[in-house]
Amino acid sequence: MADKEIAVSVNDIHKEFILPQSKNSTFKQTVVNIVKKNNKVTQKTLDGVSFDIHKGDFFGIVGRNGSGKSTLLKLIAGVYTPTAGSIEVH
Amino acid sequence: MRYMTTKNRAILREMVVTDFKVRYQGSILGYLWSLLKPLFLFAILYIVFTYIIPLGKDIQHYPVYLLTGIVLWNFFTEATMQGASSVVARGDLIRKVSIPRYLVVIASTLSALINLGLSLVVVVIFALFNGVMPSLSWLMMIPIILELILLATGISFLLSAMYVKFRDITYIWEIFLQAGFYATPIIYPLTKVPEQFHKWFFINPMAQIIQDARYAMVTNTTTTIWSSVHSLIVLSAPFVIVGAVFIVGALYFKRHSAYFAEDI
Repeated sequence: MADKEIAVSVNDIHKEFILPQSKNSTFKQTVVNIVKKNNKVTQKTLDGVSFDIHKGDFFGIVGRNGSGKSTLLKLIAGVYTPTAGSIEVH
Repeated sequence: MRYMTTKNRAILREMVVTDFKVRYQGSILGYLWSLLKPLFLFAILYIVFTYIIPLGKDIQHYPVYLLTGIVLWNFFTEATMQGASSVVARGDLIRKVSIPRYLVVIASTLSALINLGLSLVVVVIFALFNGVMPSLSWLMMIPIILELILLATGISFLLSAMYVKFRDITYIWEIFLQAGFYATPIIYPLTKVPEQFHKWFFINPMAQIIQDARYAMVTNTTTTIWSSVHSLIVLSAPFVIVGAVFIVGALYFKRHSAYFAEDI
């Protein structure tokens, strides 16, 4: 196992999303958020995920609804950008 | 970092071809509309501005002069309007596949460029019928159009990145374009404007581009920035603006493009 080449390496990944209800989608909301000095509410989706996948491995990700499985895959695919941490795909 | 790899070029070509095919899908005349649309527009303008409101009766080949301006302005409008909404329009793609985001904007500029090419073919036919002699100066159109592409792409980069979060931007830009159409000497010749104001007109890169194109294509009596402005600062202003718009647009786009997938 140890002598196999690493195919995907995920190092201490963090991902936060800004919740849609705190985004300025209407004019009223924009003004209210500026006047009340509301900060954007963020949701921590992934908090320090690390693993290596070696070439030829079968790798499973198991988790409840909303635990961040798809987010993790989208980060590996490069669709999302991680808030912190790094991903290497060889 | 390499921007135009073989893979990226293939994606770009596919996007432009699809866009072109989808546009005329279901219409009986299909691609012919790309030629017919400018042709009819020109016919209408020709009748209006030569018989009803003869604004440029003292200008040589005025119909061709007018058409050159309209065609270049139409490209600018089409490229920036389509460019502004291009990222959001391709949202389904951006949310699922990790393609370089700038390709989406470049594809929309290229598809507008194809239309410009077709319109220019019609302009050339009109020009020959109107008695304009083909000359080597027509080659000057290449750098002029490159400058126009740079300007339109820079604005598209900026607007498309802003449009993801701020959907009002296309309405604002539309008003801006309306104002720009009249601030640029397109339907009226610059000779109708008092000479001391010419330098203010030429700070607008579109005015410089259109007047230069008319000089190259139609008549060398056209007032250009080179013949009416003598201050080096004003002379370089349109080119500096084009360069600055492109750099600012590209940097803004690059900074925000990492978050397009989650923001759309």
